[in-house]
Amino acid sequence: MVLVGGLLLGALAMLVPLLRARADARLQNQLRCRLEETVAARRRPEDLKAELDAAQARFRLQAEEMRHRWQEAGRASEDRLNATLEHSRGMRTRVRGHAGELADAIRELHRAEVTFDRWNTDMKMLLEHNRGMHHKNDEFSTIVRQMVIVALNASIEAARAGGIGRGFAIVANEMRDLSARAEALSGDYRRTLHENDLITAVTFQDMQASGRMIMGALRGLDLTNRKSLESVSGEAVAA
Amino acid sequence: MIGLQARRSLDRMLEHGLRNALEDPGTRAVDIAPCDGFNPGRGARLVLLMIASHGFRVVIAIAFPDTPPTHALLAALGRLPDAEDPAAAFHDAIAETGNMCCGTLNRELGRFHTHTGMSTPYVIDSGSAPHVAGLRHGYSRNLRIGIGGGTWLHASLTVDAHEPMDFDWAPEPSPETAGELELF
Repeated sequence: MVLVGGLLLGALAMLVPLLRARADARLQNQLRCRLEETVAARRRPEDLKAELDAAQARFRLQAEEMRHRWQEAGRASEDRLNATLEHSRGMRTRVRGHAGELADAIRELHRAEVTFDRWNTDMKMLLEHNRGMHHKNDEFSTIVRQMVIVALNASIEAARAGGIGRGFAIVANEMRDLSARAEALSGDYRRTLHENDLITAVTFQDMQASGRMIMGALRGLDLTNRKSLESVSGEAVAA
Repeated sequence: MIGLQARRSLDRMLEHGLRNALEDPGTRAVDIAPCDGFNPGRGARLVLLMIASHGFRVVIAIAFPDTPPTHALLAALGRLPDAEDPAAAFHDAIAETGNMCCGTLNRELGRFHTHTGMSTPYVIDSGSAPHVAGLRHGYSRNLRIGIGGGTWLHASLTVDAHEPMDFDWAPEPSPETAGELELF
């Protein structure tokens, strides 16, 4: 028993220094690793700074390039915009000019109303003239009717005179015949005058109504033109 | 050239125009009937009016007998005042009546034709009436108009078209007001 105990103590005495040496080695190894990590950690910000500087330099270069390109594009756009504005200004001036010319032409055409009034006056004169012819024809008709009566009386008187009045009867009959023809002619002339009245009135009314239609269309054209002028000039245009 | 629909529409327009111009707000009934020919006889005055467009022209002729019943009718319509010159007053009254009738047609035709123009009325002797049929036309219609059981007037519509003319028109029904409650 004492021998076993002595053996165990001897073995333990040999094992303890061995175990201590191994633990020391492991600890030393761990410390070395940590030391290396610490050194590595101290060196990383410098690398990062260098990388950052390089990235900043690249960014500045790209930004400069972009700014240059943008300035170029801006200048080109401005040139194009100026050209478009100039073209637009020219177009507005031309449209204003044309609309102004059209307004002048419309104003001139409005004066055509004077022509329609003149036609109207002419028609009234023609109808008045026709009325005068109606009166003359009525007078002629009255005379013809009296001639018929006179010729009839002459025939009666010639018949009363017997053989002596035979020659006079022939003349009276001729007179009756002529009077009847004159009466028929007067009637025919009256009908022609009435037809003439109608044709004259309708013809001039056609001219008057068509004239008014044209004036109405012109007023519409004038309104549209004024709206166009207002659109290009941006202000109200007087009628 | 003038379609059947347009013919019927023009007939309705003329009748509508005549009623507008002749109907008395009082009691007199206006009786309009078609008749053969346009021959109102002697002693009447003929009012002529025209509506013109690019493609057609419409002539309206209304004959007014210069008689006491016609004068009474025009007076009842408020168009014949006591005047120093009765002949001139009668002339003006029948011209105004014709104008009202033709104005209705012109307004309604304007719904189908953008550009139309109407003449002023001209008054001529009824001796010209038989010649209306001789005017160039594609369609014509003659009417006899009785007012209050008497006072016969005559009207003629003559349409000449050189472009196809077709449209459909009917008068708008007059608003029914009887029996309505007034709301305040």
